[in-house]
Amino acid sequence: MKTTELVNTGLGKWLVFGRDASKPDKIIDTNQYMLVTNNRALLMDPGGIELFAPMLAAVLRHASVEHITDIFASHQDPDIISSLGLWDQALPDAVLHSPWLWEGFIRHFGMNNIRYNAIADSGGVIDLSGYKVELVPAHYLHSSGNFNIYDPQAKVLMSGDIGAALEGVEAPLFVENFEEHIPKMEGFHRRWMPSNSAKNDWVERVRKLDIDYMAPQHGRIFTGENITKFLDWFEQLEVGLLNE
Amino acid sequence: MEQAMFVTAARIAAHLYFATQIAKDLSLTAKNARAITARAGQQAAGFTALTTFIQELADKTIKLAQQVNEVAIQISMCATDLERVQHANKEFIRVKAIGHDALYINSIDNCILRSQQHLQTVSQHFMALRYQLNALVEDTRKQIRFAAVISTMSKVEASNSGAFESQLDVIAANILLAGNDIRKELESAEALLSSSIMEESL
Repeated sequence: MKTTELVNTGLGKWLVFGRDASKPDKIIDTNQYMLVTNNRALLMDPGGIELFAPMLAAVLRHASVEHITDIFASHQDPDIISSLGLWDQALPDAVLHSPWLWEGFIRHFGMNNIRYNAIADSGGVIDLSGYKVELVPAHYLHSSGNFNIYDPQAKVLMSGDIGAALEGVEAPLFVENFEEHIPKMEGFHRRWMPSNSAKNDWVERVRKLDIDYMAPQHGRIFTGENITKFLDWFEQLEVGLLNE
Repeated sequence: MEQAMFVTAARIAAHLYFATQIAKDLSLTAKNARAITARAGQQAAGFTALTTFIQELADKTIKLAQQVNEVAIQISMCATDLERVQHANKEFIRVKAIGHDALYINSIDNCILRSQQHLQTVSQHFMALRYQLNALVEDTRKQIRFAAVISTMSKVEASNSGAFESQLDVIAANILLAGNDIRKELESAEALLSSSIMEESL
């Protein structure tokens, strides 16, 4: 599994894990993220059960098991958090931050030790001993209970399935030419995002944030002017449609 | 291919569930026998004494089969837990191999140790439950042997019941049938249990 350091502010370091060439063929490629601060680490959308061992092995290059105190699951999908039963045994004292809507469902993945912090619909904050990240509501994009994470210090928005493109493990990590990237994500957004009003509400909310990196759970990361281009493109896109 | 123990335990529980259902039918047979002998009065005096035995046989079999069923369900749950812990333990060892050169790789050692300790606890619980299940299945099988004896005695007493002979004959036949059916379910459960123990010892 490849690991890339996205940004390091000195107080917090963002890492992206993915492009795993050893993963089984028929499961989609995913990006996992970790924010490492001085004495805490937050794993974001740590991935499916098939990826657990390579993911943890990659994580241990940057933080010890004891350092990982928090896990975030943006929603309930198996590619997001079906590894929970194993994290539960690896990190018994950790806290899982996830939408309140999904608690009874996510626990089916196996959760005997980890504590569930149910995130209210309006969002909230994860406080990593003074290093705070915001939980940005992203409901219906695509899941009915769904959040992004915004780190105002590092100016990173972990956008979950928003901005996702389903590509192979050989795809570059960053979007280079936005126009050329559109076909790789258009069908996904039209089909998977069910609500235009939820989408526009999210765009309005995100435009107010100062973002250097918009980091989705699949595909490439947006930087610089490509973030504004994405927001403009997404705003005008009609979603909730079957592919033609 | 070796079958996972939680599947085997669920199959054992299913056999015992059927055994319980048959024993419940036997209980109904006992109640019918009582009704017939009450109508027959003195003509079926010998059979009347036997109805208590039939009822006791049904009640004890139901109780034992339910106990076995409960233990089999506990085994199935314990075996699922065992599977989870074994999976985690294997994955942690895999992490150690994949990330052997990672800076913090030694911090996985506690996870491996903890999962091995958990594995030992769950395995011991699992073995205890399996012995308990074995003993209960054996008790139930011993109990059901009486069905053949009671059926034979019932047949003899039915032949002395005059006009009620044919009805009581049916009762005697039902007892034998129920006993045989329960025995078959228990034998299937025992066979599954023995094969799982053999597989483990190989």
